[in-house]
Amino acid sequence: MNDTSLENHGGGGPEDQTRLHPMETAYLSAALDEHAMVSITDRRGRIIHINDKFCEISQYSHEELLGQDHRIINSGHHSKEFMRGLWRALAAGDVWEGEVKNRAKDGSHFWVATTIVPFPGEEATPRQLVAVRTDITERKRLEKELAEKLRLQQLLAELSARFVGLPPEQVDAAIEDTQRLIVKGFALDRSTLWQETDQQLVLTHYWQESGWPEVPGPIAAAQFFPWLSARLQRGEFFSFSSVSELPPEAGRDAESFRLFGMKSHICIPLFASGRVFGVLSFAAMRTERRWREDEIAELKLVAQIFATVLGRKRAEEHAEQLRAELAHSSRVATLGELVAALAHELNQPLAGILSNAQAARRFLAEGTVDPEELRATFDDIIRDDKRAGAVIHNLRAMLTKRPVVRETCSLNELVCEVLELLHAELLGEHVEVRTTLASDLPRVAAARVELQQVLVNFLLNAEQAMKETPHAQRRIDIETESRSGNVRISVRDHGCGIPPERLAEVFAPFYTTKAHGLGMGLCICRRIVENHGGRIETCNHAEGGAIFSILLPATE
Amino acid sequence: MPSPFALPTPAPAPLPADALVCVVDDDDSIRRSLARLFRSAHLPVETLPSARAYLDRAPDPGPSCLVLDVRMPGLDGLKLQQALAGRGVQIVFLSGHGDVPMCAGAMKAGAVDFLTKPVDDEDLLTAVRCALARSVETRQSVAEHACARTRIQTLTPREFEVLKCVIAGMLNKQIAGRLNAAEKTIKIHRKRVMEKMGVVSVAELVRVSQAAGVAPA
Repeated sequence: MNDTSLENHGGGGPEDQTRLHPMETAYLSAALDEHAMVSITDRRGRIIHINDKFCEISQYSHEELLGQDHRIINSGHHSKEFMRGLWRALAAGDVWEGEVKNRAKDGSHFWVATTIVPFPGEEATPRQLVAVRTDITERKRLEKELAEKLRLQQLLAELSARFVGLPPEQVDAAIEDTQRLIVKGFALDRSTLWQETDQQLVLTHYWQESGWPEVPGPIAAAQFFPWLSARLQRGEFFSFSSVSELPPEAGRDAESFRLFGMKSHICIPLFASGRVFGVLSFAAMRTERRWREDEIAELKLVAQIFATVLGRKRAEEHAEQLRAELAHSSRVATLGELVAALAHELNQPLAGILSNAQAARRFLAEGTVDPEELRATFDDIIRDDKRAGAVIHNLRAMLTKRPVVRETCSLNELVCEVLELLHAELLGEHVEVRTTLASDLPRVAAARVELQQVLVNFLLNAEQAMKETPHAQRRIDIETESRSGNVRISVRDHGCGIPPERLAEVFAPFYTTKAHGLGMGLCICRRIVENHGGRIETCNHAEGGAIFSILLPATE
Repeated sequence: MPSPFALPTPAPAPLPADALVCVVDDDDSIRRSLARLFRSAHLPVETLPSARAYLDRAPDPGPSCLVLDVRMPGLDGLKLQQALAGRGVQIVFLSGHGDVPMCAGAMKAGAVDFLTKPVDDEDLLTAVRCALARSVETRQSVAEHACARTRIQTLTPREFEVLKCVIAGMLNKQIAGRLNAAEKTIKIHRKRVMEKMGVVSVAELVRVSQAAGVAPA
């Protein structure tokens, strides 16, 4: 076809066996003009011929184009490399074919499948270039749409895989990142996620395109969208393309949508165990848009994935809360058993303070006060007061119901704190404590009170195990050591040990040797240690007595 | 104003210069504060961290009072009291927590008082002064016993027989009958006994004999 068209315009084309009748040539030319944009440029690149189709698509008139070069329709879309390749081929006398994005007079773009044929002149440069372009803008648009569609499909397909096995603490970030991908993928502007807290839908996650004002703090949906949030909480899906579609009774909602700049909106309730616990919404803010059925289905799929992930996370959080509550009740129960010993622990500093203060008053009353003695007295009072304060602080920490926080702590310090707490208790039972604490022990990330609780449990069990042991032999050995990235702490008693056949069930719930014990202590200890990524173990010492130990990953 | 129902406090007898309060408690802070309190009351004081340390130390030359904690590592306060039984050590218990059986046991075993921490200075000082006074008394009677026993050893067996009859309240005639001797002879023996025992009245003789542990015939 190129050859024939060249015949028409050029006249100097390659020798061809087929000669057309001039009439046929005219027909072909007419047909070509109907089908394609045709242009011819001279050796300097100036346009010397264009057909009507060229003018129609480029929106320029013949007059505007003749004498210009092709840069007039350059869209700037293609790389320099692309253009160099084109010119290199033409300079070498080769035909160039490719798809080019051009710009029309009004600034809009159009795609053309282009064939450029150089007709060599006497010199090295081509004498003329004949270009035939077919408008493929619509095909390009469809291709792009299809590619986007495929990309979205892939995104949706990968979405559920993305959340599988994701640790709970990473879920929030993954949700917001997914919101970003969906907003980008669907060419939207904002996605918000609301979750129920105290029967109110509260904003928990959102992502939006830059340039929009930040959404203020944790806001409740009912405050701004009373009509809509009531429907959503009943589990109803809702979408609109224009705020004007909202019914009159949703006046407050419409006002808020306008205030927040949301033009089209889609809200999908999130279900867990048949109950609505949240809402996922998407908004278009630049322009109004229609929601296609397939889009709605896809967004509903996203909502379903979010519901599963968040439902699981909420369940895990709930389980964690229950575990913490159980650990707390066990702490309270343990401390209850220790009341007498703890009272003694407080009593000592109080007794010291009273005697010191009364001694000071006597010295003062006699007027024979030695300033040095008085200073020492006050120092002792202050020290005792701090000691009592530390006991109270320790107690309060163990009794508090606040969620426990992890901090880096030293197991050696923990051992000392627990021994202070149990000093009177162990003394009363004639138990001697020997400690071997590693000096260069790495620290661990742990909830202090929970590990204290584990140690208190170990020590009280050890004390209990030696009830039948003669006073002089009642001893507990505590040891800390560093073991290839882990920290180990062991507590050994000098009692009669654990019957070998029962070693395996020591950490099971309801295992107890006490007449009134619930048998939850060691079971809770194991949950605490495992929750810290550690291990709890027990065995009997070759020379008698049981050993309980925990192994925790070091932070350093 | 003192309470009208309060018993009149006996004027504190002047304590000998070598009187000593000894505090045994495993808590360093308690030892320091009690030592200071006793110093403020002009009572010489010594502190020890364990019952073992108290046992290892030489007995006090003068009157003394032991202020003793109950709950201590190793030997506890009650065990120390048992170990000291018969030595006449005056003990004031000072416990962090005292239950009734523990307190009763300690008192039965001869403790001067059983106080709980935190203790008011007046209560503690009163108990300690009382213990020191008892210590003085005990030491005096112990001295008296020793003296009486020495005197009794100077008596002949016959004179000792007469002594036992005299303190039993028998008349010379009865003693003569019992010992199968003349009343006159008994009279002479009796005079000798009074002289050797260094007493002038029968009443005094009874007291000294009792102190020396002599049972009446």
